[in-house]
Amino acid sequence: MQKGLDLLLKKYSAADKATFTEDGFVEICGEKYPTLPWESERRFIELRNLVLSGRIGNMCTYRIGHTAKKGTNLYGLLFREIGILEFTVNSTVKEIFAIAGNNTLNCIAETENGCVCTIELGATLKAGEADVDKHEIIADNGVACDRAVDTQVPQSSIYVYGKNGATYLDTDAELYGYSEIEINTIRNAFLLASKPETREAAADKYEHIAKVVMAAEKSLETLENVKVGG
Amino acid sequence: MKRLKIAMMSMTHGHTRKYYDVLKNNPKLEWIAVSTANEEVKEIFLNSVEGIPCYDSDEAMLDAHPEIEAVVLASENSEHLRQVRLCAERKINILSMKIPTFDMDEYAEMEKLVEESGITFQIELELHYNPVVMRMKELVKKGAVGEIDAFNATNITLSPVWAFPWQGVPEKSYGKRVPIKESHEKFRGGALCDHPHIFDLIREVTNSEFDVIFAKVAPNMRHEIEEEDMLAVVGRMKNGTVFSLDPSWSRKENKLKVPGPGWEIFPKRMEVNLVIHGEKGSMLVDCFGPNTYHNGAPENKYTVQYTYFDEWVGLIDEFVENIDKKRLPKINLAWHKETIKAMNAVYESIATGKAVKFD
Repeated sequence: MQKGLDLLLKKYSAADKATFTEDGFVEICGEKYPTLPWESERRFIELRNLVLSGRIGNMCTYRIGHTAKKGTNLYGLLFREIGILEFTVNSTVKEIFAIAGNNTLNCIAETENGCVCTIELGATLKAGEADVDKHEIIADNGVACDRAVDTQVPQSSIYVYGKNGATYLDTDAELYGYSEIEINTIRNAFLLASKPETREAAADKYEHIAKVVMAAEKSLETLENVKVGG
Repeated sequence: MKRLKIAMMSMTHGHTRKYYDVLKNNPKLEWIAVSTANEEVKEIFLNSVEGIPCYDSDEAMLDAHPEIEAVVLASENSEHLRQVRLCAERKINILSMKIPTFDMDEYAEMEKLVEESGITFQIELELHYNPVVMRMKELVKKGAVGEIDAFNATNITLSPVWAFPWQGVPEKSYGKRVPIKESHEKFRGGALCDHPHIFDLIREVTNSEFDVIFAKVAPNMRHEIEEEDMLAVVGRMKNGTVFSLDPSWSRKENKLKVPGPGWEIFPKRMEVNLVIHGEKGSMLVDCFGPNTYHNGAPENKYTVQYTYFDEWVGLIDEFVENIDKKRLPKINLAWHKETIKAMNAVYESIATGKAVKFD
């Protein structure tokens, strides 16, 4: 990923240099900052735009589902999905109820702007199977979703059948060849490097999301709806 | 072959029109008559079906046709107990709509009436006759995903309140006027009361009963109706299976008086999708898809045209056979009571803000 980040830093003459660290952060001017890759993922940017522009109206509910590979840390997955929720509805989670199975975690989270969100997580897929996720915002003037109506799984850009069967999803020409998560992580790190004003905000968001995940863990223990930071 | 002499009452329920074809075409049935609850549904019926006598009251129909052996209670929930009393005293078998009542005292009276009269009482939960659901159950039994760890389901539709106004009246849908929670402007009786199916299905598929239920009501999508239309439910079954159930009216509709083309604003009117996670994998299930699609009249917007929809054929076949063989229906009052209790627990959790734990 560093190569891709260096490419963007050089091409656009970014304000500061940036280096990915081994623990998943990005180091800029001697300080470590968290990346929030979903904030640079185009489908989530479009969902957020649909909310911010008022096109779908006032928030009602939000349905998030994400099935990942067996062994995936469900709290890590919850961290990402809370980040996506807060970014796309432009609000923060104020309370959460969580309940868990062996490889599953279900939550109801409510945001400050009144959105009631269900988060359904599973870690059941085998190696080689692609994650299945869906984000559907339901508001009083319409629905915004990153999946097509009447489908159950994410779609790809190219499907090759026959002896060389494969599927491809390509969304970024400048970073062609990188995976989706790599592209979004590189783009987010580049944002931090090129716009210094975003760095503290990213750190604050990261800290808040961690508190939401802690509240979910507390809910699992108590079987209660837990206020974030309470 | 002796045909079962069947009638329909009230004709106010949203599923009324689903019975037109099966009652006319099923060779095991002889459609005797209908009674209509008001002039509006009477006119709709008379414009839809020819040759079936139509009466202005249930009593008038039953008095005129003592040969009636079975009745479909196509009525608002608040009318069910009165109609069960009427049928039980005449020993007429009953196919009830999906919510007999939310009042557990009324429910107990219905159970007593049915037991004492010896009639067959079957509850209409059409998902049991859906071929996708049949396949899903078969796969679960064969262990396709191993032991179930989570069962997540949607039962989301447009709101029927414009075509079937009683569903927008708390007293007729829920049975009484109860605020959804303290200082809240909406009342019980909305989307939840319309969608018992997934609360029933999870019990059958997991072979377990509800242990914990937590629910929240969300801001209404339709500000002008009195009842809840958006809610979320999570919890756990006694065998440890966790769940997430969405029974919302989250698909917007045009305010048609009679359902038909152009009813939907969101392209798909209704969705029952399941995600079942097990120890060996996951299963994604669309009970009503895929379909065919168009952007033709009247709205010229991209629309899902429902393509596979024949649940009522199997449902009626089973009802006739249950009466003939004096067999207890699969969805009988005793079985269904736990589903109704779970739905009542959803309302309780919304009102208290706490999880409801079952004994």
